[in-house]
Amino acid sequence: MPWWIAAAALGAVTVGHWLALRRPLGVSGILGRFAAFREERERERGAAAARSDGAALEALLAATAEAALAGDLGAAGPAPSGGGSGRLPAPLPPLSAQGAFLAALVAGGLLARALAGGPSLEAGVPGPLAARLGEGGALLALLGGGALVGFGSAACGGCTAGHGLTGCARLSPGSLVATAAFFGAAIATSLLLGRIS
Amino acid sequence: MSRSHALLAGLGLVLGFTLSSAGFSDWVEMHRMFTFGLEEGGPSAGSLRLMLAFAGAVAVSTAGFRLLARRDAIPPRPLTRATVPGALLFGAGWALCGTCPAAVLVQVGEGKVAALVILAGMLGGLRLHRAARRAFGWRSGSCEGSPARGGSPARRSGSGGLPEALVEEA
Repeated sequence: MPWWIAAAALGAVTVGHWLALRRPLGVSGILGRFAAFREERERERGAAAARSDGAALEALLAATAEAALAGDLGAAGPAPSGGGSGRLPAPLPPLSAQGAFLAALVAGGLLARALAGGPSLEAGVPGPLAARLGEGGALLALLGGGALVGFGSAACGGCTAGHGLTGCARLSPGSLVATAAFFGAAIATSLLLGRIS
Repeated sequence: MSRSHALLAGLGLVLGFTLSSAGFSDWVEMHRMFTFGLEEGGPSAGSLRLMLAFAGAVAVSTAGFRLLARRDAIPPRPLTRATVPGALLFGAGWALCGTCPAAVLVQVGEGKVAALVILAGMLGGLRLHRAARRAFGWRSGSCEGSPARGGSPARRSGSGGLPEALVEEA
């Protein structure tokens, strides 16, 4: 795929995500929720229960107000509920919807491979990495690199999607600094890796 | 299946397909991007294309937000004390494993078995940060699904240690 088509598609996903869902695009945060799946599921259930409690209370208030009005007591009525916050971002999508997003990423890779001549199972580690570190060292680098990506993205509050695309396009100071820092570190690490032979 | 399920699935599919087709899920392509092709005799159109794709995506997104959204409506990502150290760790890991959190899932779809090792590492790192955040009372700077934002008071206070040692939410 030519770079400019990729640029247009990635930009469209970034902007489209915000327009469609009123949430900034982010992948590491979703992966983080799935890293602690049980805890997040409990939290979601708790929040749902609290919401339905709130709805019950609201219904009770409305009923009370109606009764009060019917009795000509001139009650002030319940406080206005919900709505009115159009400029605030939407609440967190349910875990199942975020799971669909992660599954669709997998499907996207499968589809691209299928269109490019059929899917294939690739065992083994990236060649240049194995040539420099050996098979075992390369596997360790993949595992350790993944752990650094996980810990680092959680610490800095985003990844290439959240900081690099959305945050930079929004000109968030935190994202501009984070993107400069992670690109710098990646370039330095890659150049150092190239010196091992 | 709600509206958000369908939208997120569609966006994920386009993102995954693009990352794969462009080469963001390929260790060698990513290494060429990070080294600007210096290992093969200097920058070339081939070694700069992923950097151009990324920069172009930021440019398209910037223009898109300008035209189609109120910039101040999009939540900003604050600069915290953990931003730079966290991003440096992220960058070093990104260069080693060659994938960002989205591309590793794309690799799984492509049939790359080694991606499962990277994914295990990422999930471990994310869990470790969650545990550290709780143990040391760090506050989350994350925008998606951070328990610190709406979490229980017990979780918020952590178990002593260094209060807000690394992250503070603006």
